[in-house]
Amino acid sequence: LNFSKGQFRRTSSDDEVVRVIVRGIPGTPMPPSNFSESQASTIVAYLRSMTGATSACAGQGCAADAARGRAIFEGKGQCLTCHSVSGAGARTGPVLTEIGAFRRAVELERSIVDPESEIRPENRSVRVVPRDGAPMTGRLLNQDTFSLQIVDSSERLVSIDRSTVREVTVLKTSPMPSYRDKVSAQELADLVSYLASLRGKS
Amino acid sequence: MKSARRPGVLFVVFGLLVVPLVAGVSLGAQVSFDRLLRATAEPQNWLTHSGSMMSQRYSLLTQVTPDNVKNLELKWVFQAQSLEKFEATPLVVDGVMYTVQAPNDLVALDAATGRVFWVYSYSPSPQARPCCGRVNRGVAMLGNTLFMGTIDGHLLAIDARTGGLVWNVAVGGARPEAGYGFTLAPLVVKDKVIVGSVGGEFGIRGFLAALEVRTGKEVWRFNTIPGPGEPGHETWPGNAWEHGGASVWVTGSYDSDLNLTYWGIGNPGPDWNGDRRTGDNLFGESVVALDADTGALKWYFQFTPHDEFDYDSVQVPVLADIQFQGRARKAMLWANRNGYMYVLDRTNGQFLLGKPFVKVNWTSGLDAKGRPMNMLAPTPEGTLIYPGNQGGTNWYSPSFSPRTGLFYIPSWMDTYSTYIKRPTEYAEGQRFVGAAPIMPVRMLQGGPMINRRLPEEGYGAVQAFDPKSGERKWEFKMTDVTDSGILTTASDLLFSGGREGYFFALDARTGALLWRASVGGPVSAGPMSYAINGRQHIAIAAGSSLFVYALR
Repeated sequence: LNFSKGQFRRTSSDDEVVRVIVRGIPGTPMPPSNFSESQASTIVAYLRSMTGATSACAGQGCAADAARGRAIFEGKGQCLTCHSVSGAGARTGPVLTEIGAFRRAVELERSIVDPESEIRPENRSVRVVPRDGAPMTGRLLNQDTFSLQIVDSSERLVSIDRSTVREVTVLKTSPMPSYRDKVSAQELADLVSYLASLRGKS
Repeated sequence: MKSARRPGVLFVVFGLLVVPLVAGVSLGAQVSFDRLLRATAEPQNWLTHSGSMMSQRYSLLTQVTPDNVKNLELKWVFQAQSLEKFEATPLVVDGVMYTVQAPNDLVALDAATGRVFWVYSYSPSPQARPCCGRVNRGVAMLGNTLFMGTIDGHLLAIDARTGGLVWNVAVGGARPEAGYGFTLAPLVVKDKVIVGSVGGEFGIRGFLAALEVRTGKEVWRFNTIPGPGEPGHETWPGNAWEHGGASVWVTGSYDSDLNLTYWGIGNPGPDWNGDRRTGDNLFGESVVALDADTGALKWYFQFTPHDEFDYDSVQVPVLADIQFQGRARKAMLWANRNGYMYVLDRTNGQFLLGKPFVKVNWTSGLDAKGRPMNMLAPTPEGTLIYPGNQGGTNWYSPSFSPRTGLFYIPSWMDTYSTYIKRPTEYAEGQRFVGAAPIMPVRMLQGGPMINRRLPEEGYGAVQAFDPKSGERKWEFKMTDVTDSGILTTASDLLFSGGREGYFFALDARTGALLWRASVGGPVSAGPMSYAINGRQHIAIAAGSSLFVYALR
């Protein structure tokens, strides 16, 4: 199989490729693996990156433009209010500098239109109500039986002693708004194209 | 008592430690088998892997109490020159501690200060291929000789005074290239030292071997997979028995009245595809009771017939004399990786009680004889199974306190795996497993300790059960799972730790947290206690170091 062509013998969708990586192909030398689905997704993102194509626009006849996507990301979308790319932007939301190397286009698109469809453990928000003082919300970095570590809405690293708080809630909701009605189909494709192009510092 | 004449002995009187007449290290004292049998008569020492032949991991020392445990402080640290998991429980004999720096460096230290007397370094063959880390769980001692198994299948006898090699035996020819090796602490019974081999993921044929302590000559061997003509062979089709696994990698126990030694046996192989091994696959996933002199099988009890979930029954057999249904019983307590807690009669293997101690869905329940009913199986599409592949517990030493009457289990709560079945063929030295489960909560490996799981995605706990009823008395929850063993003491303290890097003390009666220390790395070993110079110490390995605490 020539990965650079972006065509797979047995599968077309990213989810199907993930399934092949995890489970192998019975009766062939392709063995099953011990990868989790999210790890396999990373591999698919890498495979897709070899072609330079994104699947957000595949088959839809639209021409996605990463440069236009960047303009939306930094302008109208106000994405840098929470996210950062190569050091620019805010750090309360996930860092997106290498997001294109780890996420498939279909996942990027889903996260933009439906941010709560999947919140990965590394992006979980937590709400802490101290015994004294105002409630705070931040991104959960680590936790144990006696403490938790967050980056708060002011981008500070805060370690919290559980004995000093009244309530800790890991939120099932995302602080990110849905962009479903905020961007056009073309703008969405451009955004995805831009995010898919982010593969680390150049 | 015989031990009363020996210098360096402490007595426990009304909960107080009486300082010995002669302080300091007494290297000349021989560790007779009689001392091993009566290990609880000298609680200042920790003479066997699990603290006694009963393997209760229970210390009679009472200087540290629920009232003063908050005053524990770090006395010394031994930093292993190894980044492997530090899984060894140390021995302490008359002021000298013996432990193992992974994979196979035996170290003698001053138990009061941690200063090193000597190091015996062994370089295992690069062919060694233990499945899950180049680890060692400890040593055994008899006379002035220490015994250490190596990951390449050798058993070494080392002079406790000098650190010099006495003998080095390649057990059964030692075939590390085929997956054989030792990670467990050996068990000395009378004049023999008993070991069992790892390799359940490499298609070995498992065994227990007893070697003569003076020479290393093999005296008996028990094949954990019966060969042609041996009882149980009929539970394997064709030649599946030749590569059926059934490894042994955790130390057994011994009942001197019955002259029986008990061992837990690992998974049949290939782990996750039982198609080529239809049948019960004895003695995989069983406890076997062997005549300690001959290795002859007295009885067995199989926890998980035809296992396809890697539920190794490789747990320390905890022996306890308890009242059960109004009658004194010589019992065996067993918290199995399959998620069930069992009480057996250790004279004959009779099933007395079995209850799940974590969420279980692989069976609909146990029948009157303790056999699981309606077992699920891996499928090509994947089968979601509770508990997950690492089990409801694993090799982590449990504890029984004769004072509280409770059985304490390091537990993985609500974990699951998706088991996917694939074909597999045997090739020497290659993994022989048949695909692999997808585990959201993974086995302990290197890397930073980050945990962002929700409780429903799995957590850890110390659980206390009444073995008479199977009733849970209390649970101490941790946000992350635990690979730590448990120690209880005669002052009703419980010591344990967890993957998130704490070592802590609980009230053994209530589970209330009384003290904790941040050890900065996951605990993957069992705690133990000893005394020197009139002071009780508690030792635990975590990360790649050994931490020793005493009252300030």
